[in-house]
Amino acid sequence: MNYHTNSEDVLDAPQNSLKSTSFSMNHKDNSSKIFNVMIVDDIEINLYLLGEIIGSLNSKLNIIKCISGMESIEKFKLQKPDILLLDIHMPSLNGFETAKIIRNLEMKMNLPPTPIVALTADNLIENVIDDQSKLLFNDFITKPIDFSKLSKCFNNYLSNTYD
Amino acid sequence: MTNLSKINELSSYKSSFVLNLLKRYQPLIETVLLAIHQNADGRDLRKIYDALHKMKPNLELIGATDAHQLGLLLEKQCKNDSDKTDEFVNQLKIYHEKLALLSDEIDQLILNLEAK
Repeated sequence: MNYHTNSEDVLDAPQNSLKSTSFSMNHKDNSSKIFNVMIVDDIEINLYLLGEIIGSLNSKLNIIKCISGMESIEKFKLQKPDILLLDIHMPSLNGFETAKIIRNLEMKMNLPPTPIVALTADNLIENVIDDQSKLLFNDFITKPIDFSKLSKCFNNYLSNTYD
Repeated sequence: MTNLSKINELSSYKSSFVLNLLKRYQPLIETVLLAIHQNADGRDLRKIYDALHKMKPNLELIGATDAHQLGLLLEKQCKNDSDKTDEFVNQLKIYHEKLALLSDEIDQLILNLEAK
């Protein structure tokens, strides 16, 4: 498990620009595979920003946007995502509750576990990591998102899943 | 009050991206302003915390450093369950004023970008 915690350098380096941050599919024979990336955040601007950035990383990423935990659960049943980026702090169903329901669904539907990356605006990532969250989430990234770290995340988890 | 260098770098100076992003700021700021206005006396700390937490990464992103730093301070105080002092209420008021000014500035930035 990796914890990406450095909020100070977030977005301030030129290599974090849309053009220069890239996500390469460095695993075998996935040339025609389209990856479903589900992003869940209750703030519209965050969904927009994340969607634009992910779209620019690689054309083989299909973005599924959800404005609530409940919407993500409904869409999860229909379009099993290859990776899920889930905001922690949401009204109604928060990220922990949503992830728990999704993990239960995976067991019921006999699906392999989806890589779930928690997104948090907490400056101290330790505030959101406990034993339970380590079981639910594969990774943690702080906001504003460092897109080079996000790209690394895609390389790690999509590669591992589809090798 | 704002510094769009991060967004400009991020977008490789694509003005349509910046414009679309700024347009999405207004509903968020309005929601946060309302939440703080309704709890200006520091009564519902949970709601204040939620509002501050929503704004935090977005203030950092647009380089609104003063408001961001004050928001961090207030967020920390919200986590402390002790009774809120007059100073907290005053700082909350200042934060509200900063956001209102930021909203006006973003309006102007949007107009400028649209005119290009």
